[in-house]
Amino acid sequence: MILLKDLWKKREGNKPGLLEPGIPIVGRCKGAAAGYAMGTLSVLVMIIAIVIGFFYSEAEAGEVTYENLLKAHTNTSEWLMYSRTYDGHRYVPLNQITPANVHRLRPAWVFTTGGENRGLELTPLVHDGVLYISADQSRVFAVDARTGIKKWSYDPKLSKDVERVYCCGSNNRGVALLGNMVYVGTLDARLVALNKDTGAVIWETKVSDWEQGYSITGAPLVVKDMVLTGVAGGEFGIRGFVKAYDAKTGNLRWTTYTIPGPGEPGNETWSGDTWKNGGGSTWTTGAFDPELNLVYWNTGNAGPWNCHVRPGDNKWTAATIAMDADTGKIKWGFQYTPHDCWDYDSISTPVLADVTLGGKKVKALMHYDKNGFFYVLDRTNGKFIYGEPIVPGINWTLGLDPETGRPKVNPDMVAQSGGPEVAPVVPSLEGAIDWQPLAYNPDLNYIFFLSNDWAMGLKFWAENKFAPPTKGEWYLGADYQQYLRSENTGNFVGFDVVNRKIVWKVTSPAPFWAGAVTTQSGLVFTGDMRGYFMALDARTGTVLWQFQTGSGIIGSPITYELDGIQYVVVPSGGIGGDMIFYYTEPKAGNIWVFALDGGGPPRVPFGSNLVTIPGALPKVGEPGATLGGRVLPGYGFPPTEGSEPIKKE
Amino acid sequence: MSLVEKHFLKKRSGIARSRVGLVAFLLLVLPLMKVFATGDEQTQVNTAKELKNPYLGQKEAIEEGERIYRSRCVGCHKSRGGSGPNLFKTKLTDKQFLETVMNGRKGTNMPAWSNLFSIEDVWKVHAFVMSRDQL
Repeated sequence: MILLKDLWKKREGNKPGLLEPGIPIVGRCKGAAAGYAMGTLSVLVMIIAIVIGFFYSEAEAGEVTYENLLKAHTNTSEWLMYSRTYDGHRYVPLNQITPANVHRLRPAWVFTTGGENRGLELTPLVHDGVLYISADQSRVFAVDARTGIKKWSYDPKLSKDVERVYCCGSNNRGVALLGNMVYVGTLDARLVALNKDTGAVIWETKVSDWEQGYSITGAPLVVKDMVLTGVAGGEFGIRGFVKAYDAKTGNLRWTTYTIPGPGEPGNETWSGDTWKNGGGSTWTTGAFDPELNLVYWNTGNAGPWNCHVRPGDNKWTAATIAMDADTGKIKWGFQYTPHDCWDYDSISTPVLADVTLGGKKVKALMHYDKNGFFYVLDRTNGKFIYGEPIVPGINWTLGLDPETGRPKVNPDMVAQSGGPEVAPVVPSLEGAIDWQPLAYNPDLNYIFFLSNDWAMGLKFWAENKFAPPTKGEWYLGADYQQYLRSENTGNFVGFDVVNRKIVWKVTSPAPFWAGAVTTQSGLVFTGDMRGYFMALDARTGTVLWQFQTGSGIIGSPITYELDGIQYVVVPSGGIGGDMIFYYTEPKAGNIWVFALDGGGPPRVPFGSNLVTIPGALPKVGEPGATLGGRVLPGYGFPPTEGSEPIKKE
Repeated sequence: MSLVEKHFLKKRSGIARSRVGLVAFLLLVLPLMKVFATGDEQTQVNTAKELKNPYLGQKEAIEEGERIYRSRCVGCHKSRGGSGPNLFKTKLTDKQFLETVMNGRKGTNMPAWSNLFSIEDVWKVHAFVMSRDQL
């Protein structure tokens, strides 16, 4: 603590622009510890150091290792990847904040991302006392988790032209960490590795051609020494894929297309060349089972929306694919909506859990789909176990085959080319759920997810009215109308995986559009589009606490412990994604951080992100403290050398 | 007689009474104003020759405009307005339409299309959306 205070005093003498508490503190403490060890070390200490060095030879202090990622379950002080753990539970074994005391949650600090504020859809990461945040326009921020003060930021400075090839706002859902790098995918389809301490670009690579409609909005996934990314663009006639890159160098390791090419199994489910523009995008993050060595990735809608031009099942769109982690080879696939005629992406990140169903232990993969059904598969082989309808009044299908899970399509809810609008189709293409991650509480065997209740009208164009795109054009062959069905469009559900039933529901007049996190203490945190961040009782769904964050919540909350305090963090970021189609909003981009009683009295000095513009405020009498050079003629002062001429209109 | 009507009449009679004075004023001042106005001549010329879409009502242009609309605009503007405003029978002037498409619209999701579209492309889209009430 003395060290900390002294450092603060030292910094007070610095220029305001350099005020960045936290960074020097961390650096100094570690330096001091190392110095102490060097001064007094025994042979034994050295041996231990060498042994540790052997195992962690690749990793500098404070760097994230693959080992760290594998053991993320027990690490309650960090959140190292999009889903926290490879199995995607978003379950944190923390107990400081409980159903009994959660009403004492107060803001500790807020960080503002600024920019265009078209929505914060991210899951923040926390590592070594630093929050890693991504924002609209693929921007990245590193923020001191103790003070909320920015360490660095990165802006890929996208061309304005890129806007025309993303369907639904300039969102980004998060970054990935490995070694000394932070990885982010950009809207112009690049993968960029940044130095985690400085934000400097270490490498970047072109994942695909944005001008052909490809973009990246999802968080990358680190597996072993690779960084994996998917792509968005299912509305622009892309062919979806997952690519794996060497995390150190950015060299491509493997590419797996979700839509098999000629000669590959599954290509026969497409007619003619339709596989080339068939969609099957991969715009969220996958899950990973290290024991089975399988990476699971969910895929988007088939393209174009007008399904009549692509007869067949259209594998592997609207599906989960399981890939060998080392080669990317598809081991199995399961289609939730074969021959998708409703823009039913299957895109929220899969959840992997070992559960006992009917007395039998199952290695399950759980998924809630845009199509309104909650699914459990056997993740070793992709076999269907069960599917439960969650949204009331699903009408695109007459039901699922109990053995295979294949839906029996309701022909009345399939629009015809050149025909009238078919309505109301339930669920709408905005989904029961869309991309938002689920949270699974293994203590209760409950899974938590949003489930919006609205409908759509769908109209397919005559087939001579559209053609495969050439330069990143929309490839829909259809248009739609979104309809409200009830007073409470927004539903957030607690579902009992073992007993296959909804145990509770929370409703909101606005849709839910956020992910969730659940804790061992029996809480679930999520938020709604009205801006309410809320804590629910995991057992009953009772809203125990809520806080108006000022703007819609469309990202995912996280929780972790730092200096003995449990924090809960939630992005509150305007309206992004498809929600910009239906709502206008208070625009904002804020990262709210909460703790019991706001974390108590200040434990570290507060700081500020306010930076004085260099030269703008010289002290009286200092060089530069004149009005010269900045005064426009005609304002009563004579023009001086270097003054700017007035532009003639 | 309503208060509003009374007010209106009063105003009118006031103007009528001062008509002679007004004419005198105009005779005196207008020549001077003409001098001051020369700086604005350029603007006046532009207003007089407001940009007009030369493709309006032309069948082939409308067809090409429909193709562009369905592949570039429909994602937001949909069949009769969606996340973007309804463009069919738009009330924007031809010039405003051209400028909005080419430059985009700050603070909204409307991108600038000048790097992709030619002026002719935009005119054709305009000709299409003016040719009917919805997609």
